[in-house]
Amino acid sequence: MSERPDAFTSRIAVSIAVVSVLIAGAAYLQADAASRDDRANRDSKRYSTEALGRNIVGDARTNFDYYTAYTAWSEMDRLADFAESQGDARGKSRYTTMRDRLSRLSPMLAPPYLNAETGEVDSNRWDAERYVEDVAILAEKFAAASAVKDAWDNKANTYIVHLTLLAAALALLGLSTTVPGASTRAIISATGGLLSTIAVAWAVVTVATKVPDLRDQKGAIEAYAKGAGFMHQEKWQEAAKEFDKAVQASADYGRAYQQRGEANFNLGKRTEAASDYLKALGLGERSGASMGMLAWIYYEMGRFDEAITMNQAALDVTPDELWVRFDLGLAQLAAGKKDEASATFKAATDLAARVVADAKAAGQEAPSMVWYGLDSSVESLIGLAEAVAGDAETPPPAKIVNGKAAAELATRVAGEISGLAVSLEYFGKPAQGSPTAVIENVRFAPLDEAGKAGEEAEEFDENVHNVALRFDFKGMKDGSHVVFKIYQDSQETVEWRLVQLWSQGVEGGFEAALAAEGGDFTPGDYKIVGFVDGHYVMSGTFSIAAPQ
Amino acid sequence: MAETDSGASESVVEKDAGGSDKLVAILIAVTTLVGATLTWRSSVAGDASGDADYAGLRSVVAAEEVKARSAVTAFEHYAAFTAFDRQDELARLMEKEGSGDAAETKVRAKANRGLFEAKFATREGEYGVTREMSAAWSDAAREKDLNPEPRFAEADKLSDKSLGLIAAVTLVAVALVFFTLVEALGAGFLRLNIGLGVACLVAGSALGFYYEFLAR
Repeated sequence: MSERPDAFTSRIAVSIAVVSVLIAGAAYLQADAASRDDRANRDSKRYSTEALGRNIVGDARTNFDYYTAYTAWSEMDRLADFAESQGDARGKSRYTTMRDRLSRLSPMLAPPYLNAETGEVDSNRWDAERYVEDVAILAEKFAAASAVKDAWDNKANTYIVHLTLLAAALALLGLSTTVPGASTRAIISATGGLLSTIAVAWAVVTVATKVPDLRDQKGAIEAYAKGAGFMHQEKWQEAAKEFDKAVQASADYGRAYQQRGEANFNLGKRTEAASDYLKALGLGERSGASMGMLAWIYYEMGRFDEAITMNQAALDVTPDELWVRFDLGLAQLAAGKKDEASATFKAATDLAARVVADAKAAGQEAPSMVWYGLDSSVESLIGLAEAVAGDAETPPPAKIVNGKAAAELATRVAGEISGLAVSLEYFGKPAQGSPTAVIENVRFAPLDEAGKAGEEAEEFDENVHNVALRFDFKGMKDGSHVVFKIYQDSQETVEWRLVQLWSQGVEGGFEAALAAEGGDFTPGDYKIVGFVDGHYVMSGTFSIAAPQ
Repeated sequence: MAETDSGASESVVEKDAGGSDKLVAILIAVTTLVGATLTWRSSVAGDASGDADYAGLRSVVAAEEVKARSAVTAFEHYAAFTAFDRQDELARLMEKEGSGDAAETKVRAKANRGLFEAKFATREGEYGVTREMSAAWSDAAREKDLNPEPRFAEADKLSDKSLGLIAAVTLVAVALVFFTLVEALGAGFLRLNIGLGVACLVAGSALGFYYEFLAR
């Protein structure tokens, strides 16, 4: 205590001491946040690995249950029925014994999964109860742990900023004791004090900021997983109820709102679905798929401007999502923005062609999203034209702007896109030039088992299993690549597709059986679409009535 | 005399002051050393915690790999066994009936016989798919650590230790502040500052000792 320091130096010394304590405290908080960050990170890795493992084990089990146990059981069941129909009592007994013996292979071969009357199994319920719910729990815990990890990581990094500010304050306070001039010292020390105050205030806010953990919201994840299980079984009502429970347990559960939106959409509750998706978006679930789905709901409700905005927002997140791009064009078309719609469809088809070309150049298969995007856009465009014609309820025809022009463009673009899908699939690039072939007068005639044609019609009875396609043509060239796609109830069965090199000359009449000899058509609405060298040239429909 | 007394008194004060200066200097040096030691131990514990975490995650990956592989293999074997058992039983029934197809069906059964682990099949026509998976797990457990829980528990313990040691360092840092204030606030607060400083140093050291040697 040889020299008593002056008052300024004493104040600075006290300040330095206080800042030092604050630094120690901030360091402790930073270490604590980093430790929690590490634990949450470890949890998230663990959950994701376990989810993957559980999925593989579940798949292995289900593959055995369905493709081995059930297939064998079903084979014996059918053989027993066949033996009975042939009056083979011993055969029936033998196969029934075998079928019953196979029942012990898997619980899937017993109620509630097996329907003894129909001989069919509810494999979706089996999957859901065996592993889909478990995997959903692990996946949700992974997402929850990742969110916790992000939050603590953010806190830890913020504390480092506080430490930096306090270190700078410490340096300034130290410096203030060495510089000459009272005012200079005062400015430097005041700046140090200000920095310390900011750091402390900020640190208090950071400490007070809570880190919510979904895993602590009792019952939320479990209800969500049950909902996911019901979604897997396409039991939308039950799923929506479970998601209700999930959002009651955790009001900020974005994914639960998103899933409830999907369930409500499938229940036809568009207003509720839109509200759920909006809520999910507000809670940070801003995936391109969610926004695209909400845009589609707006489109079906006739809220075209909102659909356009939402599709554009989805494309900001996922610019290469083809179906969203096509949906944007569709909404623009329905809103009367024909030029914008044409430009959007052009950009979308260019994107599809580029993706296929890139995949081919890399020696890979084109991603399935290309075919899904092209097929779904054709379906939607035709749906728009049907709505204008009053044959479909959505979008509401009254809300479609300039409906006639929209329907014309939709039909034309649908043909172009379906042609593009064929040319990309077979040639890897869009078709060149314009089609020269003209196909007219498309008709259908029933074929009996011997291949003899009956009277032409558009509706056939349940006993018809094969149909002949007939049309008149001109402008055809021998050697042209011809494809006829056959859709049953809007779904194409690729094995039925007719592909041939044209050899019937320039002009004339065409006839071909659509199914193989004997036929395997079942009741339903059929649509035949024809393409020549990747150009759409014709379509026609017929239906086979269901048994009374 | 007065001058002499006054000079003697100043000399005593200087002597006292010189003594406390030395004491404070020693305390600051000790505090710094204790703080550095605690920081080092905290860092070592934090590092070990990270290693244990990593080992635990490796166990998780290994365990899931074993489960997935063993499930895929066991169910493949179960499928082969099912094919064998179906044909074998069918052949038996056909033989009983005197059907001519029995021999051919028997051959079909034999074709599947080598495609599953016979030791898991029973005479009653059942296959121990769970036993096969358990056996695969036991085999793998001899070569790999498949239980992550002890690793994660160790990681948590070491992480708590590291954090506890940082808390001890914080207390020791506060002690350092009091020793610094001795100079700044002068002789009036000498004992108070030294007392509080020593208290913090002792508390920090005790906390450090607890986390280093006693905490479970």
